[in-house]
Amino acid sequence: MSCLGSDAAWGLEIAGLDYRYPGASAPALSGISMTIEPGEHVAIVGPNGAGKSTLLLHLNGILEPTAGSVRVGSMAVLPENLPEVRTRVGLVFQDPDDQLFMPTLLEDAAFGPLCHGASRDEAEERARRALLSVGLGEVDAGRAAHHLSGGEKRRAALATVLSLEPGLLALDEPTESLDGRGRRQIAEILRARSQTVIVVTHDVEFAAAVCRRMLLIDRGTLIADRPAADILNDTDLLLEHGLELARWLHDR
Amino acid sequence: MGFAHLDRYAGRESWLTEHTSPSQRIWIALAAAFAAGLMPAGAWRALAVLAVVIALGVWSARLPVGALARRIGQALPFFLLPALALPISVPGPTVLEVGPVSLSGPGLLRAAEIVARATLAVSAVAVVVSVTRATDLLRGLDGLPLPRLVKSSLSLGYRYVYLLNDELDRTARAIRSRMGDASRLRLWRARASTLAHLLWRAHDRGTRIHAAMLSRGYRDRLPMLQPAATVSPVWALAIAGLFAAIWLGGLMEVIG
Repeated sequence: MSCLGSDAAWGLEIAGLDYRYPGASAPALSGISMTIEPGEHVAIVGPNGAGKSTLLLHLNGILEPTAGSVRVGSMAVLPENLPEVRTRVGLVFQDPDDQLFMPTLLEDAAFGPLCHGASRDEAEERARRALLSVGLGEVDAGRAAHHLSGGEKRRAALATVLSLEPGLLALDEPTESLDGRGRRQIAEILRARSQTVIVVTHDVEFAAAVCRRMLLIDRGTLIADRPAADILNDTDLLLEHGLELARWLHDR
Repeated sequence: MGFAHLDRYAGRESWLTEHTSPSQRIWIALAAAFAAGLMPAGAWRALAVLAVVIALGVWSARLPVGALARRIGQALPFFLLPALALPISVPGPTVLEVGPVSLSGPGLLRAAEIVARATLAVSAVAVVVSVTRATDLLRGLDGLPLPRLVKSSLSLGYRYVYLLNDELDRTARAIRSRMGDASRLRLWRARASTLAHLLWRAHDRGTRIHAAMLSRGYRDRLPMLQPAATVSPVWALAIAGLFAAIWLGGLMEVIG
């Protein structure tokens, strides 16, 4: 029996989250707390190594917190809830080649629904709909990932979680190695989503184009939680935490 | 890396591709390979019959013989090297002296037989792999009674072999561009170190892929959208019977 989501937006509540990688001397995350409302689009920015990706891996239980808690909607992210949590949270990884592991795009997009008990017909229907929603049509569905351009791979990776119709979409560096057109396509797709969207990136300008609210993380702690436009104009804050804007290349 | 070479001959029309499904072809290849591998020692006439059957398969597949020979040749070192030791290690009258090394008659015969059997088995597999699309092969293998882990490994292997090869090419190019006109020995050393780096990266990638699979609900099997391709029991028995008959012929030849 399928237990798939249906695009209802889920909120997120993180309280006092600590995480330390096994054998590491310093914590990767320390005392992170935040509340994200259902349907909100939020960017989490910070320099490389700030702990952004580590935070994302807690949203669907890939990593277990050393301390603190994570809730998606009213459901705690705990080992016993993981099958349900993973239909609610669609996680798109940084490298699309890690996400596209099946022989064809259609098989990849159908993987999630099949794992969650959907029938072959339902899984195929969901997979085709998800691929179409990111601009990949009938011909693309039968292609293998190694035949795709960088931008197509990014969109295909997004489709692999959209087929689950998750209420919370979390993306790790969705614009990495993309050209201008690829970035615009991803931004348009994300802006059109009615679900909760969390974008983790160090591309501050892209984050501001997609999200109204921005959270800044550095060295595993939450530094700022403000409107995106505020942070984008706070040069001192950005510089202090190793975030620079492309336009500064000309200004400085 | 060019990925077209894998399915290069898969789209060609031939008697073999028109009259058999991918999974039937897999059965034929496996039955032929087992018949060659399990043939009793000294059953040369049965091996000749098997060679004729496989040659008919090559002819019906309309494959360029040169291209097929190159594919078979890639596997040659794996069975040629062990066979080379037999003329020296198997006792018997010396029929040839190569420098200080004496080659025995029975050893040469055993070596020739191993090479012949392996060549036949590899030929049967190479024909089927050449005329069948990789994705169809995976679906066909999915229908075989193989351990689930083996099937998953084959499917993931097909997806990631290109990526790993691309990484190997890029790293090797970067090393070469910094080495100038290095000696052959240094070049090989650099290649070995590239390979070691690649293994480490492959391990990292494997960990990330596993995380991506888990986050979409993976438990212990790779579910496929299309059902596994299977062959009818009658067909499977007919193919197994044909090659079993050749094998039995070989057994009778040796006993009789």
